[in-house]
Amino acid sequence: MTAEDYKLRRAGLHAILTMPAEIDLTNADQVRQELLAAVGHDPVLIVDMTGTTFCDSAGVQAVIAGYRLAEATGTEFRLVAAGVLRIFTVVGADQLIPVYPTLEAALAAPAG
Amino acid sequence: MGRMRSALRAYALETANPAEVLARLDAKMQHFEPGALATVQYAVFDPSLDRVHVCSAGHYPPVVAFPGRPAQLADVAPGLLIGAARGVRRPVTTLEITPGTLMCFYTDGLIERRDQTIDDGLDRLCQAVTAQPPDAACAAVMGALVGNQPASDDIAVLMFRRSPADNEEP
Repeated sequence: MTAEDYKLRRAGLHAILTMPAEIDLTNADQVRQELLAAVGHDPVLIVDMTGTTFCDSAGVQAVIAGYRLAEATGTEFRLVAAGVLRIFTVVGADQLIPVYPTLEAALAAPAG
Repeated sequence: MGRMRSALRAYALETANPAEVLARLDAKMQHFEPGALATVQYAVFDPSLDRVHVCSAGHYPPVVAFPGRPAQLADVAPGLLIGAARGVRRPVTTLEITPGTLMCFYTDGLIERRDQTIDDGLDRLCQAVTAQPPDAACAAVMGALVGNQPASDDIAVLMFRRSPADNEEP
């Protein structure tokens, strides 16, 4: 796992953080740190899990930690999760975090 | 985790409503341990054992096996993890439990594998669970899902079975 796996780029008012292909216990702490570091610089943070094929409970908790910091600091947090949507719905996290099927949909959404 | 378990037990003595127990636990955790996240599956049986009331805080649903039927995931409404947001109310799902029925509760480490989807893991678990004595059911599940492979995450499994009616097989 290298810093190359977490690409943070900007598109207008949006920051987009790309998540790694697999997130589990072995890298969830790193994911959490990357998420926390990405919050607070831009009005909207889009967490892009389009290329993520596996995410376990530790990964979901890392994403929720990022969401909570975003909420506390006034950053709008949007999650793109197609392939790993199931775990977010099974544990109820989709009730908390706005989830979009594609990056385009997340970019096009009106400010919340 | 120890502090959380102690708090949960204290609140369990105060009310029989599973959602209320988890709401109080959530408020306590967010006040004294901000930032902490945890999942809880909380279940209360009626004294008759005919029904069980289940409330989930971000936990995978239990597997239920009625006698002579394939096991399936219980249709428990999802609720948010402990520590995820303030003032959350979680739904309570009531399940009917007939004599001989087995229930299996488990932690994420049992079904999450890096080379499989979550649904694959849940399907394998349902295939391994049958309505039989709990010790045999536990052995079958651990054999099917863990086998002789070292586990990368901790695993907890809790099974119980309502005793079969007197005129049925044990």
